Amino acid sequence: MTPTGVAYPVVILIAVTIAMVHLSRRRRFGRYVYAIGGNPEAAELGGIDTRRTIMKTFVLMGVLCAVSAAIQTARLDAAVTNLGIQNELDVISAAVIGGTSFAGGIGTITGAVLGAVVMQSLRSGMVLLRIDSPSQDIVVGIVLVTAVAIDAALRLGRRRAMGISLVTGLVLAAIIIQTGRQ
Amino acid sequence: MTDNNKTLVPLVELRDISVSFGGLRAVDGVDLTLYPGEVVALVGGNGAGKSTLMHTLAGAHPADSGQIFVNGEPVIIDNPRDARSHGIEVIYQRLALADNIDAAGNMFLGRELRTKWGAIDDSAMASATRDVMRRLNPRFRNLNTPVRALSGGQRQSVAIARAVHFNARILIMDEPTAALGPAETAQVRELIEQLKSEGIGIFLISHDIHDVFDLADRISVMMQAKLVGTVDKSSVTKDDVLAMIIMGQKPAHAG
Repeated sequence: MTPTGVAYPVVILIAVTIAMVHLSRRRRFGRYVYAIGGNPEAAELGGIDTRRTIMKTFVLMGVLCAVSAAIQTARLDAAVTNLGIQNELDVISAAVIGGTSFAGGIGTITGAVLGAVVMQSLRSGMVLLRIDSPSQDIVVGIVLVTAVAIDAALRLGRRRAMGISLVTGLVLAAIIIQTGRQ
Repeated sequence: MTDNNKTLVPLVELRDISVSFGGLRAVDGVDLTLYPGEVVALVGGNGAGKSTLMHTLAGAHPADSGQIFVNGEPVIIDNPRDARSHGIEVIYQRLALADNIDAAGNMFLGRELRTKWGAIDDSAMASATRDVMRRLNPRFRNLNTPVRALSGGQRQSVAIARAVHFNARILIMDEPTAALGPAETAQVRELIEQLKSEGIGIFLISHDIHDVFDLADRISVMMQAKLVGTVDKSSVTKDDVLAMIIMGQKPAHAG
């Protein structure tokens, strides 16, 4: 804990969020990442070194992954070889819930952070409801699939398909939560 | 194109350029020159290789063999950045814009203005865009919406603004009016005349024989990857050019 009582991971989260928002919105690198996501061909023709930019994106992902691994290790007070396995489900869900589009070029850092808050609230809620862990994963998976379906439906302008996937997702999640109660 | 221009150093000279895709020869031994303040139209049927040739000059497909001279100096153009450093700007047929980014962002794509801290200077880019747009398309207002939401003409304005703002000396226009309505087409024509008077050399790829005759000084015809010939507009008729496009025959009387 910091002297003010705020947990260090939260401080790190805030610092990383501010740094990443700056990088994505106010730096050339961030602009290029959006441009490549929106239209890779245009980005290349516009004189952006797309290969280098994509490599930098992966490097950045590795660095952020290392930060999260350090936090996880510190919290567990132990280093295990399979640390963070299956976290990708939560991470992808958080990004998609936060408005990142699989089609590319759309999404924000703050959105992904809010998405993570939503997903963790869901996890915590399910723990408090004493849902068993496999059912929790299924619910997170359903939320992810529903979010992707809504994203695709919105992109194609199919409002009805969006409504159907939302309702289906909610019903399925409710059923899993009911059956997973201990 | 007048005769005294011929003594000048050509802005661009393409010498014996060949480009292949796998086993397919897309461009085969083509020579082409462009002088300052001149419009050279490149015409030919679909798949004749005109776009590929221009993409080579723009750095989108490197040439397999042949040489490119800019202002008489041999240059190597391997990617779009090389082309830009020689003052070559392209307006692509398929409107190479990033849909999710606004007009200013697209105009400066790859060459963003930055503040002294190295951050992107959005306000400076927006005001520069506004200045260029005032000249090109005064009705253009949506500077801050992603270009996805813009009409074809507005998107074309953004693409042209990009070329104009960076003081291109050599402009390649690949079907600049294909996606446009009549009013915007007239605008583009006016703009071509204006750029020409500023001494910019323009390669114009077009399917529209009327456009070609209205705008071009010389006409180069390609057929099946080869250059049929280059003729002065004043010495040929539309029928001569059509014969070159369709049959690959250069008229006997044209130089």
